[in-house]
Amino acid sequence: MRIFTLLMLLCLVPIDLSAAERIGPVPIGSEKNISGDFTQKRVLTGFDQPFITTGQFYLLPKKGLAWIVQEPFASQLIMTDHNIVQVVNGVAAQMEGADRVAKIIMNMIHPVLVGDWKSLQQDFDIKEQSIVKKTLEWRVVLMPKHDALTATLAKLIVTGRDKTEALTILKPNGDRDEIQFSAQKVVDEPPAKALELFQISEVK
Amino acid sequence: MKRAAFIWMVSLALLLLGAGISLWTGQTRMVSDITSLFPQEHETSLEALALEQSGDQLSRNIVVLLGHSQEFVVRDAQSRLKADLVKIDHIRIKDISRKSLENLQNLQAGAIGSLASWDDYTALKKGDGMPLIQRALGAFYLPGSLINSDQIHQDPLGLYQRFLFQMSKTMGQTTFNGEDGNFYGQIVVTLSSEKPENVNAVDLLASIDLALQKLQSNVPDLQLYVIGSPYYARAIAEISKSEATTITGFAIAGILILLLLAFRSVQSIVGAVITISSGVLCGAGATVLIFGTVHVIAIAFGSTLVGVVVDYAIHFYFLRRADENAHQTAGRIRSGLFMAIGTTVAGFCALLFVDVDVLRQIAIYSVFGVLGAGASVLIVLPVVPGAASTKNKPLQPTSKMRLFHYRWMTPKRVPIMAALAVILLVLIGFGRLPSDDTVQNLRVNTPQLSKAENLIARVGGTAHTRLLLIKGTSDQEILQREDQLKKYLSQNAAGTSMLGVSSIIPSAARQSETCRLSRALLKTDAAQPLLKLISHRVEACGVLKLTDTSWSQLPDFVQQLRVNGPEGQAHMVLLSGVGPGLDIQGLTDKLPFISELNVASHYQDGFSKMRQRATIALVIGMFVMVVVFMLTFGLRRGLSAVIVPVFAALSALTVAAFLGSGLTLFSVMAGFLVFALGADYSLFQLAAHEDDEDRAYFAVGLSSLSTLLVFALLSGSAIPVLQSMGVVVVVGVSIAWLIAPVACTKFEGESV
Repeated sequence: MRIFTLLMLLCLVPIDLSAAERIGPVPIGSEKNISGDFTQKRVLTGFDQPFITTGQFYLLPKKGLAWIVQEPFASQLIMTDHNIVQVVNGVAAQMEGADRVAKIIMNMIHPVLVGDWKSLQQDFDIKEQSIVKKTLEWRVVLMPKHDALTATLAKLIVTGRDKTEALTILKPNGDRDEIQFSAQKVVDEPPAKALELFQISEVK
Repeated sequence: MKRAAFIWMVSLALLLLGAGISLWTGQTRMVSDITSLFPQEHETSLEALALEQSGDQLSRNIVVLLGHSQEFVVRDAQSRLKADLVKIDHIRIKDISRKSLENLQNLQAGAIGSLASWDDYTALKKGDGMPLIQRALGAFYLPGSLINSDQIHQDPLGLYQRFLFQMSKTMGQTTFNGEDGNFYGQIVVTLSSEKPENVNAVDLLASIDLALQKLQSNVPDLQLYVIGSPYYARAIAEISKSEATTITGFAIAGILILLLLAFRSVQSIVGAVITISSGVLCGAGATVLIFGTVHVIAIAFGSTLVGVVVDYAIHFYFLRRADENAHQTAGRIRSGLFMAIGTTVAGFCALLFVDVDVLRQIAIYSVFGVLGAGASVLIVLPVVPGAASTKNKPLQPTSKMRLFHYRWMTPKRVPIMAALAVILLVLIGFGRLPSDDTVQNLRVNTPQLSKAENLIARVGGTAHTRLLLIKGTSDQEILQREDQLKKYLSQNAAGTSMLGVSSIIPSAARQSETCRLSRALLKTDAAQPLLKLISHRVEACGVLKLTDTSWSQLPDFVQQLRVNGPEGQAHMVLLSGVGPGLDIQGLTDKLPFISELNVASHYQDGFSKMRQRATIALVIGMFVMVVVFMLTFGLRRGLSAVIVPVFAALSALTVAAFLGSGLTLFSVMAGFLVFALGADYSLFQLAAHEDDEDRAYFAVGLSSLSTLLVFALLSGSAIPVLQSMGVVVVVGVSIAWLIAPVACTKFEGESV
């Protein structure tokens, strides 16, 4: 029994080591659906208080991202490969002004949550990555590659442990968005509520 | 005689040297683009100036389309390609780079709050401001928002961010979805008009190709297509060069084999080569020395002269007699040869009076070419070693065929042909035959270019663009008129995108109204939740005016939208994504200060004018020749002789007009060749002595065969210009050979 316990412990060592070396969340695979809560703190230069938004999100790789704002006012933002639709009081309106920078920001939520750095490197360079071995808290700093992005984005900072916990978007003029992710769940089948939202956006 | 031949050969060598130096030093340059074909307009109307300005620019534009199933791949490829293209000197990218965008934002900074996209401006005008307030509120909370704390106090509704987005979109800064589901991005490159003489477009295209190849090797699954006038010009030049080599090679080989079979002597081949070379050398040399810029079309047309001038050598060798030396043969054929050369020279001289450079170049090439070839036949051929020997007798033809042909083509047919010729002359002279003056006649469609063009037209919307000109007394008035156009389009042609100066600097009136309406909206109750978030705001907003300083800070391609002339000023506006619903006529009726600039139609008009002038020159040349022939040979014989070239040329043009898509400038030019060849066939038989008739008949037969050989090869050319000319000459020469016996059949009292 002792030998068996020892063997078990030996088997666990590599797992522990890989976690210590891993910069990014525990891999879940690119096909999995993720849902969770978010808190976004928007800090604008010259404003005393940050603008705080809370709500839930559903990330369905085959559909897109549903961003459901509960506070300070109810609103939903549905982003697919081709457009961004805002749903207010069940009425969907396509955001025609959503330019490529906005799409890039929305598009990067999925790779940020699953730690798909390769995908993020299409638009960003990884400038820094570090991990605190004691807490297994990792941090990745990304810088935009293209002119169109550098004009509006200065830096991205992604942090987390087993899961991605925060994304900070810094802008050249000092403005910043801090998005905290919590209560994340990974599910095989997309939740019905999320599918309903995508249906509304498709009708539009 | 030998001395004269020596002097002549030295003169030809000097001509070659002079032409070579002129090309080498850049005193003369070869061009292949479409704009060089047309005479410089001296018109001062704003439309003419705008067409010249836009036509010149379009002739230097290159469109690169990048496609992929992933949008980021397209964006990344665009960035990489732009980074490589900016390193190439003497080209400009139609783009708003980060630096120029920063410049524009600095320029517009004072007017933030007054600058709004058209949609936002119309929403404000309609009093439909609620969605703007909701959008502004959302910008404080939603992810991906581009809210900017620097501008929020001045522009709480975020109108400027939308204006910037719309501006970038209009200028092609965004990627778009193609009908095939792929994402596409476009880069427009313009070759600089101010490049030094030693930098040619071919080198610039080679540099662009290198950048494209590098991108393709880095991103193998990227769809990469490129089109544009410079690429078409290069394709024309490349295909012209390769076809000139193959067609000339095959033609010369064929002619030489024909000569070898007919004469069974090497001397005749040497003589034919000397004649052809002298013709080409004199024609090309004179053209290069006389003109500063020579179009490749003139050279390509000139090289078809091979088919005409070889006739002179054939005529010389066929009419050699066993009992005379070569000098005596030359003396005996001199008058007939002079007449043949004179007819050709007179025909082509008519083109010198047309105010179109390329036609004058063709005229000079042809006149000097036939004179040079004729001179070589009379001066050099008699002294070619062996040519004087009487042992190399030409193959004696049987006279049965000639007799049959002469009996069938009797003078009785002349009145019928003359009547038909008059009818055809009237039809052609008065433009009653189908004609086709489209620019496509000049194009060479390689499979690669055609595929790229179709795809770009389908997914890039380039096939649905229109260029308009808006006139006015001041920039401000024109900017307001641009707004009137925008309003018309939004009401009558939704989905049409408009690029104008107002896309960057709207009229001062619109800016003031935007400021006033947005401030009024912010005073409503609906705007209070938004205003609560903003501690203080700037009430006043500035207006950006279009001054000389602000003009100079606009991107190059926007500055080029302005047209100034003695008649006033105007702005060009480019519409893209134009659907069938847009009635341009209705638009210009409603907004009379707007006119359409159709560059293709402008060129078509140019071709039409050139064709009409060339046709008139041909008709006048024919009239002159009819008179000359009648004065020289008498009424009946003169008419019989001149009917051959006249009828052959007119009927060939008629056949070509109905067989193809219609008469073109180039088929009319081929009509000149047919006229010259027909006159040769007629005169050679007419001038033959009685005991030379068989030889003359056989010489004309062989000449026709050699010409048919050359032009049948041309009629299979990939270049539409050469193809249409080939068809006209093949038909015309066949008819000329068929009817040539009427020139020398005996009238009453004479025997065949």
